[in-house]
Amino acid sequence: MSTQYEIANEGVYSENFGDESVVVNMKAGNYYSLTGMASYIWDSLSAHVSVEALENAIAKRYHAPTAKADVRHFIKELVNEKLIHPTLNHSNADSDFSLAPAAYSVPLLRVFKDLQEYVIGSVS
Amino acid sequence: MQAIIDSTLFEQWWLDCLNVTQALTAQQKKYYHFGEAIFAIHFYHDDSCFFTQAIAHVELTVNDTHDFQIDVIDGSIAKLPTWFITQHLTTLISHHFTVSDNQRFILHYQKNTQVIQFIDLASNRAVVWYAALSLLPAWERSFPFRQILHHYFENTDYCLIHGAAVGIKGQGVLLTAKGGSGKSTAALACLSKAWLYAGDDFVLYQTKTNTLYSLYNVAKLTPQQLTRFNGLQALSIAIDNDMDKQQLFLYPPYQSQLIRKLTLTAIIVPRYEASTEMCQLIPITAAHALFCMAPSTLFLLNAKQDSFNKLAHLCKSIPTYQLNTNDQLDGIPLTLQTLLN
Repeated sequence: MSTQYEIANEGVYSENFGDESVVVNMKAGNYYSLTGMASYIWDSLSAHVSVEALENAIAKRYHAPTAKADVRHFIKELVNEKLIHPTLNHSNADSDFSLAPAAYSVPLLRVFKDLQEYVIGSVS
Repeated sequence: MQAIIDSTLFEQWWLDCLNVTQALTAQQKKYYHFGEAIFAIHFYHDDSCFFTQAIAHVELTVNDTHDFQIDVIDGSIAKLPTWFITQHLTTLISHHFTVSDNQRFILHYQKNTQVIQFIDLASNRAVVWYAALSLLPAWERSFPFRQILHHYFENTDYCLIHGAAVGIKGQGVLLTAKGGSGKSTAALACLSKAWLYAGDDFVLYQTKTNTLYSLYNVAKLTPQQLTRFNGLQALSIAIDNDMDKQQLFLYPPYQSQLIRKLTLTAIIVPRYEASTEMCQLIPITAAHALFCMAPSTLFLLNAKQDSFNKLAHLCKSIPTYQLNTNDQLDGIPLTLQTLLN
């Protein structure tokens, strides 16, 4: 069975600017910059593309030897940050490369936690 | 994050609270212009200064109609019915925000300061109750009613933004970044060169018209920063012990420079570095601008996805720059002026 994830639906907002995505986690008070292939992977996960389908499609299109490991590592980081979680709602969505970068670059997640004290209710 | 409670319970408590206000006589009825909406604020005690000093510049002398009403009740004048608070105390304390399941009612309960803000979005009315002024933190004076304004405007084409705004001849720039980046310093450097000033901390943006509206006539500076602005030291100042900053109320001394609205031309992310050779603007991506603007705005207001979408749309719509600054304050208005000519 394929592995599928979905975006945490409570308080995770994101915007794709093409070469970078901005993600905000309202519950944790963290925010993130997604660059390289990260925006594309994030959007694919949002569209219910399975991890296996995503890995295979990226490896095939870009011929990048580290692609599968990079995708796995990036997804693990997203899970650790509680931005995505596994879902049992499986679909057969395919990777849509119309918005994918022309060249492969390692998906990067930069994590920022310096504004946690701004979250309402964080200080009582 | 917010908790959800049955709307019928909320409605019953709302009616109970309204019964309390109806038995009272408002000592002051004031009207304020926020965006293009008019807010009536009724005070049931004599001294409203704590809540009105920051918004005095947008006060209307008299008005027949209003879009939203806020009743501000001092705990020494009347108590609100306690059954709802008692019944849901654990939920209210742990979540800070509580919303009715039909999204009509929003309750903010601050146990440490004993402040209740109860909003009914169906009747466009809110009740603010506080136990005693002495329990309110000093920083509340600089941006009163911001949660109520946020909730009212969040369902419209407006949104509150954490930032400052200055301009010339009706055209303005938004200065936005997390605290300590130099927003207030940059805004006051422009004010001291006779620029128009639309506020600091929070401003109101309307997406449809690309207009920034003033909310608060306040600036906040550390005592050390304040020494760099000779003319400001004589202003009414409130000490903010929690934030180690001083609040400067620019109305009425700077009344002629306080502007109610500006057309937005650019987003500026200030970045102070003493070693910077000269003040300069560097184009940044829309993503970087959103990165600097959205998190603090959203966290401070507990805003919803709609607010994030408005901020993202704004960053994609107009030019975005980083403003590198140093200790030469005069360079800030000189540099920003190139965007407004």
